[in-house]
Amino acid sequence: MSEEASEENIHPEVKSSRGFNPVWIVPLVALLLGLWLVKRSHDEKGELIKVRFENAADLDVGKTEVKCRNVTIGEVEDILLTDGLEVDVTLRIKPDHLHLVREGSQFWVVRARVQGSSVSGLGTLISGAYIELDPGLVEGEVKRQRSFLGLEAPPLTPASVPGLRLVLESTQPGSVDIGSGIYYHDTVIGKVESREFLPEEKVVRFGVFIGERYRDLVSDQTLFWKTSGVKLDVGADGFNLELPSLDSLVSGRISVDEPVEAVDGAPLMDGDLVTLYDTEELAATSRFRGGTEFLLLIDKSLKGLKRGAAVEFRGLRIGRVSDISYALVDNPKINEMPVLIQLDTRLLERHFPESLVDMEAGSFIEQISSKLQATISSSNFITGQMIVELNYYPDYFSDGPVVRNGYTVLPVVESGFSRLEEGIANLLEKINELGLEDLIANLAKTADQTTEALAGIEAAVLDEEGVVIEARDALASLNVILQDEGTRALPADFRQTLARLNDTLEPLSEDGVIYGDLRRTLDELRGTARSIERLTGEITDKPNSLLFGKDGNTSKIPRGRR
Amino acid sequence: MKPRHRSALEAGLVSCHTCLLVSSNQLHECPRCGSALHVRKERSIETTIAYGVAGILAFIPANLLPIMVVTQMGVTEKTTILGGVATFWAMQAYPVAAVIFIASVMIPGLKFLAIGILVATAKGKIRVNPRRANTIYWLTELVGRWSMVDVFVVAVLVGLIQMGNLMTIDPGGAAIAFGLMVILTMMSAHSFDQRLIWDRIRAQSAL
Repeated sequence: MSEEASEENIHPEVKSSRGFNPVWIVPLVALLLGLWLVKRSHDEKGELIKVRFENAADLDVGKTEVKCRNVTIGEVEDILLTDGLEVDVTLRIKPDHLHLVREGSQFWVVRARVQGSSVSGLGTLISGAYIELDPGLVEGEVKRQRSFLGLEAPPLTPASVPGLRLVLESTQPGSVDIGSGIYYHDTVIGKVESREFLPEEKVVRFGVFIGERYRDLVSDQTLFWKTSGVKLDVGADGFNLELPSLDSLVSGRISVDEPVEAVDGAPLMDGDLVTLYDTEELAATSRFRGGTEFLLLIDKSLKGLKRGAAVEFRGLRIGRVSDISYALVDNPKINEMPVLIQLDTRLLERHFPESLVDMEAGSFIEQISSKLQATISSSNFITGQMIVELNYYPDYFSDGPVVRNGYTVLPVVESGFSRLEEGIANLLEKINELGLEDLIANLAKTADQTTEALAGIEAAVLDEEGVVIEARDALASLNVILQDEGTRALPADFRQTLARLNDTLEPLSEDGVIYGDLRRTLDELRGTARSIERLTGEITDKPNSLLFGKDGNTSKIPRGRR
Repeated sequence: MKPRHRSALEAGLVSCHTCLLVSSNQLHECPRCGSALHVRKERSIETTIAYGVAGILAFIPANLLPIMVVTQMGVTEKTTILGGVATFWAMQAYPVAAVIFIASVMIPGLKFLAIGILVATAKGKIRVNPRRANTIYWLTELVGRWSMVDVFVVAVLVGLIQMGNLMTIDPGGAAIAFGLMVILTMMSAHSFDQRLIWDRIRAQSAL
């Protein structure tokens, strides 16, 4: 039975294991999880774009990130050297940020830079460089672009920052360079972003950005000039030393201002070309609107009178010297140097309101040109700069305008001479007022009196003749005294007296008695003097020795411990 | 090869999975603890295969995904297991590279191989000396509990190195996948009933 039982027992209940085993859910879940992970990581990888740089400094595959406003949006996937020895950097941009990659996007490498007065990207010294993406401003339709040309240097203001972007043109840019500030009333309103030299036109063009806030400060009337470093200007107005801020000393700066006689200008648009003047003065004169021209013929050295020198009407600037050359006129004479002056219509309109001028009949100056005289005068005695001064003489009559080579010739008055002339005229007038006839009558009277006086003197001279005769008599009697016998004996007496004197002085000689006594006395005196000297020395050293004696130990002054 | 001894099954005995009480195979429930009694582990091979496959599936992301995300001085770097091995190898830290490679790649791989061999043996697809098969099983079980070294290292590093921007280590997806893989392989090995190897031998010799 046990055998049977055991036989039976060998075959336990065998269940069919067909059917679904729930354990298979586990690999199924694992599979789904795996698939999801793969999909997610694929999605996260995003799209590849290409950016071409000049070199791949600081870029690492898989490490260098792509950032936009410091948010990581991708990373460097691959770096390849092209046949043209440029570097193609493949970037993988996360799908969430792919919309930032579009036409107009800019890429550049952010690394530590020291430029002029600014230091940027210091953080990248530790963390390594990264590629910055600036999506730029989108106007209208967004265009897809997947291949870009990277910038070698960061744009100073990203394209996505709103503002005014102008082009400044300069022939001598000086120290103005990328990064130079643009100042309006000493406040930075913008920056130079780019610099490009055009070899064909031989000019430098600067891309300039002006912040949106300051957009209204500039118009087509605005003047742009550069302030490069220290400027010592010796002009017609004297010395002018300009010291800009240290910042602009290093990097140069562009100043912006409206002209003095501001006219409401039209607003500037992006990309407008504006001239960058070398100096403020040039900028100011740049608004010159040439008007009436006059010719001056001058017979003197024009040293100090330059082209561009001011033309003033009674001290009011109304124009400038436009040319100085013999070639200005036909058949020039060597003593008539032609100087062409040009009046600034803009200034004329500004300075002479309609109430003063009948506009219909031309400009004010034209109306009075027949009564104008020009003077070359020195405006600065130190520098010797000359200007042309126009003066209005209502009483001046000319025989009608002289015209040479189409220019109206203004009469020239030599300044020094004219002043002298005026002075002399004044003097003469005053002299006239003095009543010269009376004076002359007085003079005649005085002359008569003088004649009388002279007659008196003559009489006196005649008196003097008697005195001379007396003097002659006195001399004769003196001669008689000298000839006398007694007078001749005098020298012998004199010699005797001397011999006697010699005897008297004998004891005083070196061998004499008195000399010995004297010498002894002197020795004693010397000894006394020495002891007095010693005494005074002692008193000087130790004034209390007079009271307490020479011995230092008796000093009442307490001694410090040795 | 004729077995020299009778198995418990042949003797009509069954061991309780829960309290290991040996009782008659006629019973459906353990007289002591009341658990269901099975002669062999229920659907052992199928379960082993299922867990094994799941483990292999988890092993793929464990190697593809980054196991650690190291942020050092603002630069985030993701390291995979094999990448780490390569890095250490390049740094000429050969022992470290070897340890990581053996613990993280080789042993899991060998475990899958071992489980495969065991399953194949139990199914009779291949002939392996049952004693050797037993050794393989023993080794698989032994290694199982030490396979979490990677996950452990990551856990310690993540816990210790949180110094803000200076250096921060975060766990990557691979850490989870790796942990899952270890658990799944352990479960796979555990659900395998090594007695099936001997049953197969017995059945083959009976034929």
